Amino acid sequence: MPDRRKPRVILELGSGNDLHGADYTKAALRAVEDALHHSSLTFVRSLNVDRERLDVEVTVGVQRPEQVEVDKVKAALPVGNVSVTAVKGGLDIEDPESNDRAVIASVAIAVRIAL
Amino acid sequence: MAGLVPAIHALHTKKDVDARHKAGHDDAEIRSGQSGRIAMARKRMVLEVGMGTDIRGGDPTKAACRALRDALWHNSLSIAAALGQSADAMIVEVLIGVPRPAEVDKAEVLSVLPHGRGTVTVVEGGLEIANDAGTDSTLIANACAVVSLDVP
Repeated sequence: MPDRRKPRVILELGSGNDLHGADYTKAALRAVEDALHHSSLTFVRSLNVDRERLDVEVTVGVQRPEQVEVDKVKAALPVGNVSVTAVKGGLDIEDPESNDRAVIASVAIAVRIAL
Repeated sequence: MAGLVPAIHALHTKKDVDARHKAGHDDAEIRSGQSGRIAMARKRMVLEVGMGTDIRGGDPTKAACRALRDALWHNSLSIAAALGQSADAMIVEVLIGVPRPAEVDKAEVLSVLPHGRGTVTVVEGGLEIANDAGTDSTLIANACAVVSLDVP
């Protein structure tokens, strides 16, 4: 099957966590912030790219993906046609003595555009 | 003084390995007064969290080692000294979440630790994203170093 997606120009990687509340969405949002802020897409200005044509695919990895509110994650992306998928990944750290759990989210953001 | 070579012979078990040359656990017990010992319990002190990647090689060991380094170099720990113990008294459980966990060389991950006794557990986690051509993939590993000490 031919790949009809626009070519991927960058895959932005990040991680975020919630140390005590076991809130996977909070961790995912922090991971998105982390991923976005390790790069600046200067080609958008230098090549005069229409930002609305950017396709942005967000993959969130957490141990309980069904708990991620994907609409909130989608709203955290500032530009482009955004899709969000939550899959099993990330890492949970249990503390049985304190009945506490830290949850870590891994995020990869694929930006696609035909240049 | 503990050797600089970590206890890499811990290999694929979860057994604790003491990085110090001496087998004696001089930090494990304190003798009180004339007789008896104060009971010590292992308590968690700090969690250190990090992320590592392998951009093209698809090597979960590489990503895991980078994740552990990332966890460690965000913090300078002085909790052991504050409790009157040496840095090598720290007991470090390393948890790694990465795709294809069975492929991770746990001894190599353990060798990243500069101090103390360590164990490594690897579970399915992190994230893997293939490139468009399907010829390679980008891996993310998540790491947590759970640092504990034996305290009264």
